[in-house]
Amino acid sequence: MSAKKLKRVGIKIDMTPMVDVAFLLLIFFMSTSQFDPPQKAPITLPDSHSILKVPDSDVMVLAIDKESRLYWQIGKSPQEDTDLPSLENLVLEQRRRNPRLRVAIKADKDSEYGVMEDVMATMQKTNTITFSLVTELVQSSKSALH
Amino acid sequence: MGAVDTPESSGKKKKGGLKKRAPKRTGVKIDMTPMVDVAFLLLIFFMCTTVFRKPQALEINLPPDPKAKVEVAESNVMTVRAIAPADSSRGDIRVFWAIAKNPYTEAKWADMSGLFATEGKKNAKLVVLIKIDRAVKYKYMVDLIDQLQFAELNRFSLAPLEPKEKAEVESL
Repeated sequence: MSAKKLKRVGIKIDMTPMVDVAFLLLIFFMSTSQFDPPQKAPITLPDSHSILKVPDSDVMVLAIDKESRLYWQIGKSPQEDTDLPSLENLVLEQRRRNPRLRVAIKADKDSEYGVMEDVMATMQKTNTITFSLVTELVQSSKSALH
Repeated sequence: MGAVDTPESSGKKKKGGLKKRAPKRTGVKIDMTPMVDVAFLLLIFFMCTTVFRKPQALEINLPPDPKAKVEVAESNVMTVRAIAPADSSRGDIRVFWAIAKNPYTEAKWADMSGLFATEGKKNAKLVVLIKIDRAVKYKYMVDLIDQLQFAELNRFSLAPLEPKEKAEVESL
């Protein structure tokens, strides 16, 4: 009378190992990720061959964006605006609060050198004579100029 | 006649039989699908947002006192002047260099690394004075410092480019 139903072969895949691996990776990524503190302006870093790392703590990041606006932040706190005239007092104040504070300057690669020159002059005025310029590592061993 | 315990009934209902039967297991089946879905979702999220590399840093040491004069024999000083050309058709950087009191020569930006390497080999006491115009892009300064460190010319200083000095090389 009715057409005979096709016999279905029940395929059962054991998903346990896959789920195990998925959870392992999930836990790994969850524990290793650190979220970048929010940035007010996107900054493209210049390239260098330096292999020194930016220290993890006691760092004041001074950001200079393409339009030569200045921002500063310490640790995970949100970025705040600043400008050249108030930079000197700001750096002095923050260094007084934390004597181990280091300054890292994170400038956009297309920003004008003049701003950097002024910032460096300010650093010298505040006696912050050692600071880092944050850069991106280039992979080629030869030269960044090409 | 006394009641006869049959092994079948005693095994099922009464305690103290010879063999204790294992309690009946209820098959609990939990549907894991939603949990696995969420796990994969989070996994993909963390995989996409994680950035492994940390940015690198160039260490800069400024002289402690801006007025302090360091005496260097003039023959050991190599001056590099970098300016941004007025018309953008010529690229966005022009570099000139001179050793001691020699006139400035223009160099191609790409040749600077080779130049630093050869000059550094010729004179181990070489001190490089970098004067960069304010309009030049910041990446060129980083490149120059990077090249100097690459050529192991660790004695260099940055100085502002005076308008007169700029005009001098601009006419070349």
